Amino acid sequence: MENIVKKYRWPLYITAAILLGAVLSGCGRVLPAIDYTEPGQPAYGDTIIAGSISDATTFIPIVASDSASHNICGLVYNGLITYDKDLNIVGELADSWSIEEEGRVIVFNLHKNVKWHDGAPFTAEDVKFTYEKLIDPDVRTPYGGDFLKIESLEVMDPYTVKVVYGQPFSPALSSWGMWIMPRHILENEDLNKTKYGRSPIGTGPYKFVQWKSGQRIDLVANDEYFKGRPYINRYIYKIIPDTATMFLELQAQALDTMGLTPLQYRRQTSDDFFKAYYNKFRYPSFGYAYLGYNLLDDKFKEKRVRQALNYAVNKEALIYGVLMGLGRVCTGPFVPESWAYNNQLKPAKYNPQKAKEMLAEAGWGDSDGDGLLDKDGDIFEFTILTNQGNDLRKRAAEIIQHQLGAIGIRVKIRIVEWSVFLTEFINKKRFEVILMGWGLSRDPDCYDIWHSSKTREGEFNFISYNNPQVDSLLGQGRRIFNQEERAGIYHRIQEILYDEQPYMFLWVADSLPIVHKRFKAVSPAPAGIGYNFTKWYVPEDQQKYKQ
Amino acid sequence: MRDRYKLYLLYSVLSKNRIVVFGGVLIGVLTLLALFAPLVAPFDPLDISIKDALLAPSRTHIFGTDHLGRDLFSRIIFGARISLSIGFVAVGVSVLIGLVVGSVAGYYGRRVDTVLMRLVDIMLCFPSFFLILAVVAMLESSIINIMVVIGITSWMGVARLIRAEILSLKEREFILASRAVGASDFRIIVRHLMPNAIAPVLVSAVLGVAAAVLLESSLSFLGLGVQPPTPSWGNILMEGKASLGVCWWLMFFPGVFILMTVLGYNLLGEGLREYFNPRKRI
Amino acid sequence: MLLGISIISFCVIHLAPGSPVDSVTTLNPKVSFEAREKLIAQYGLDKPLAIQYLSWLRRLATFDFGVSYSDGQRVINKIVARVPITFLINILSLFFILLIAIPIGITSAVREGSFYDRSMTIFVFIGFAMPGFWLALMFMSFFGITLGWLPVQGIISLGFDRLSLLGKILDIGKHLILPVIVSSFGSLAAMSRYMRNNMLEVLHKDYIQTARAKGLSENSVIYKHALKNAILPIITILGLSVPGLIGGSVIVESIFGIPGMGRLFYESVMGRDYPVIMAVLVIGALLTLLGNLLADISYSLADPRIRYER
Repeated sequence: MENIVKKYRWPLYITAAILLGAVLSGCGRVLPAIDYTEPGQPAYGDTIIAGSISDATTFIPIVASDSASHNICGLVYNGLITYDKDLNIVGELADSWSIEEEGRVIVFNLHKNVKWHDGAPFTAEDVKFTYEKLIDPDVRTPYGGDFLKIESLEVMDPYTVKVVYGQPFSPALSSWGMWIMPRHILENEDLNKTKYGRSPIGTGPYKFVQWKSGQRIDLVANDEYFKGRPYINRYIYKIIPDTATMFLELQAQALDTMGLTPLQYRRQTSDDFFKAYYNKFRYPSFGYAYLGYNLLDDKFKEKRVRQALNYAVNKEALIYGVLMGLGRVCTGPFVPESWAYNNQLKPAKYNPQKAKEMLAEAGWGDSDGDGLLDKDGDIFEFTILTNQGNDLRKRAAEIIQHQLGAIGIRVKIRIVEWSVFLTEFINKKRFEVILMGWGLSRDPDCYDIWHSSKTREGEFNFISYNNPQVDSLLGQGRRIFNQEERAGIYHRIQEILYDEQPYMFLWVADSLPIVHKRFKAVSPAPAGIGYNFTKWYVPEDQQKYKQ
Repeated sequence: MRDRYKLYLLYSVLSKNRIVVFGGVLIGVLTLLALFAPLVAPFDPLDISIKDALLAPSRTHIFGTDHLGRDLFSRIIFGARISLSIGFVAVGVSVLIGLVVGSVAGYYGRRVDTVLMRLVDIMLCFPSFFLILAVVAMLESSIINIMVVIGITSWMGVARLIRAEILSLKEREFILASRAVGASDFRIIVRHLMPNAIAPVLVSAVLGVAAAVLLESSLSFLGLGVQPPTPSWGNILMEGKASLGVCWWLMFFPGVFILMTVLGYNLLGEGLREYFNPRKRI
Repeated sequence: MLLGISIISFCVIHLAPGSPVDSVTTLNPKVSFEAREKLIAQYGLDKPLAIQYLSWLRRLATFDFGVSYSDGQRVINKIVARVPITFLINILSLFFILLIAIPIGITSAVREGSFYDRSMTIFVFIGFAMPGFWLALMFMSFFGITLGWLPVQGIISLGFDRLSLLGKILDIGKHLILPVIVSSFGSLAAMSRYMRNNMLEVLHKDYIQTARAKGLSENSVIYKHALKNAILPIITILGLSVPGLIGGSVIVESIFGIPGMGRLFYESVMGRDYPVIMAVLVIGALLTLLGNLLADISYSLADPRIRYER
């Protein structure tokens, strides 16, 4: 043996050195010559490069359902309304509007002098066209639901649209954040296949330039944007399918902005290099993560059992372990920033002892001393199902498994690929517990998730929740327009849901974007940081890409 | 007497071929570690301890800890169990299929042979990783599925080897003799032809284990292999990827273990190959 | 043969539970039940399997692979856009392998048993044993970040369109260095080992001894006589390594963000984009067939013995 080692030792040393050296990286980077902390004066120019994990699929706004396509559509198109930094509805293509007949009718007055990117004028006909396509059964749009409630849509004159709903529908105004499409370009196109899906024409602050599939999407500033030309000249959306590599690109300064993972935020972006070149932000995202019980399963039929499980999971530990503290506990199906959120509800404190007692009352005791809870001969075990591709959910499942194991429940974890997850498990209700998240729209209407009628295959009440009181509250919430009144209704809904625990509400995670320091006017608000993107600028002396 | 001579031959070849010994020792150690995992591992590989997350290697945790505070060394040892057993079973499956197909094709010849070899050719046309990826993504990624799928996509080499050997052995006297005595086809194939044809298959099997371990780690790395919290080298690497640059130990150690395993099996396979087909030296 | 390929491809896809409608109608509270049903009918997924296969086969004959489920583009267009890049990487890898493996193999054989031979052996074996993605990540973080020499992502830089032709070529080249190295690393080992063994066998043959006895220079012996004979099997092996390269491209392209066929395949598998999956499988198999065919042809061209046998 010694002979072998002796003979080969030099090559072995060298190889080992190379391997180790390759691993111990991350040292010796250059610090900037320019002082990026200077706010400077707004100036036109420069380019921003954003990173994305996935590629877009189409730029027909009503057909696209993935986040990458949405990001681009958000810059190329406008809706009738949008949200300002405090999450209030303000007009975008609509200058003003009036709500009449207790909410059944909305009349929008549109901005005049808005032009499409090809120069044609924007009119009410475009709005009508968008509506017609939304309810067209041949168009593959997932967003038709809200618009099917419209009884009629009339073009009163080129800049006025009157929308009549069958019944007062309070989420209506919010639904008109939907991006408006150009009639003169698309009216004879098959929206599912049109070539304009790859080269869109909109009214928005940026015009489309090119899309290299799988690589990048280029946009350029719209000089004639009706709200004023954006400062940043070009927007490049770089597609990098892997967060680790995306981060490497960020470190190489080939990327200006991306969404950080909690680990990257906490541990990898605090050194001098990052302090000098980048600003990172943190604000609550608009969505929550939850553990959903299949309420048709005997084990979870009793409210007491679900409440006990809620006591058995330490949510703070979960947030600490999974999100590294970058998130908050949530007590209901809304985010704390939303006006619908009930701030009075206090989350249950972690109490495994109480959990055990409650479970014992429900018949789950450890009758055979094996450390596992059982009842009538069956041990308390179930499988948590979650989808692949989400590291955070996976870790959360593992932690929950561990915590429930401590009180005698055997939990198995199963990670399934996304489409299979939906068809085979969610839609067919073949699951015991799922760990998922909802990304919420600004309007708190959650009828589709909680109403007892929404349990058909493919609909969102897949846990089969049925509570007539909640049903009627949901219906009311949709019909009332007064925000205070509505808030009261949703507060009540939240109270009931937290008590009944059809979901164990896990957390509201923080969004963690990082932006290169040279971009100014970036200021976090309840709506995030993107709401004023058109006002971001780079002072002339700090611009990097001269174009 | 014969056996002692064979042993002596083995010994003399081995002592000349230190590389093989090195490979053999390597995988021997790893296999032992895997077998005795519960005794060797200092911690429970599934034991989560959030406050100990992402610690660098130290005296308590010699390889450090992962995102959930689990001891990496223990996870790697238990991961050895999983990765190695997947390797063995996958190779077992592929050898089994290959033996059957190859011997049937070689023995019966003509039409059967043509059809079966066509099948082999068709299967060889597909980039195997594509096929594996597609199938594993379609079905659920349980450990059994992975073993079977890797097996099903790698039997072709074995089949060809066996077929070649059988073709050459088929017309030998001892086979003709057995047929004259009235032995059934099955008996001839299994008891007479196969044992003599085994040598190249053994080499192929050993190398196949290395390939299977690499394949499993690639699959797990892409997220389609072994599912957490069960540790496998590939999925430890996948989890480690997220902390590239900060926590080097999460990527380094599993990679090194994969390296050592594959290296060991490759060396062993090469050595066996030389043992069975020694090159004549002038 | 081709029929067999198409059948296997079709079977593989339809093994799966889960239909492509699901990734389109992501779990989005705004997707209604009616909308989903609409979508299923639209894709024709409610027709029986056999009919789906036959209609697919018919279109296959005209290279019409249908339309991708994810973004409505014609599948053939998507593939054609991506194939060149994968092709480029694979060909460069092949060249790289030849360039490096053959000399290593030859020199190892010539200096059999020496320090050089032994260290090359170790190096090559380790290379063979390394998981490709591990190597890729190590390289990326070392060369890309620490040293900052090479770009880490994609195949072109930002200002690509404004570069001269030479600049463009250099730019692509720079981006391809790491992927090509990673992609060929595994095969390098096998190839050089094979070359070495072949060379050794040939060197021990009688006619080499004859050549030496004739008084030819050592160089001439090695390069003119031994090499020509040893190299022939390499060509076949090269052809056989094509499917390996194509398959390996999945990982390399995913990690380096290269928009090639491998990554397309991975994405379409995840998104249950059946038309694309089937198309890539079929095309991958076709390319392999082509590779083998070329290998056979060049082998028969290079080896006069085969020719005369015909």
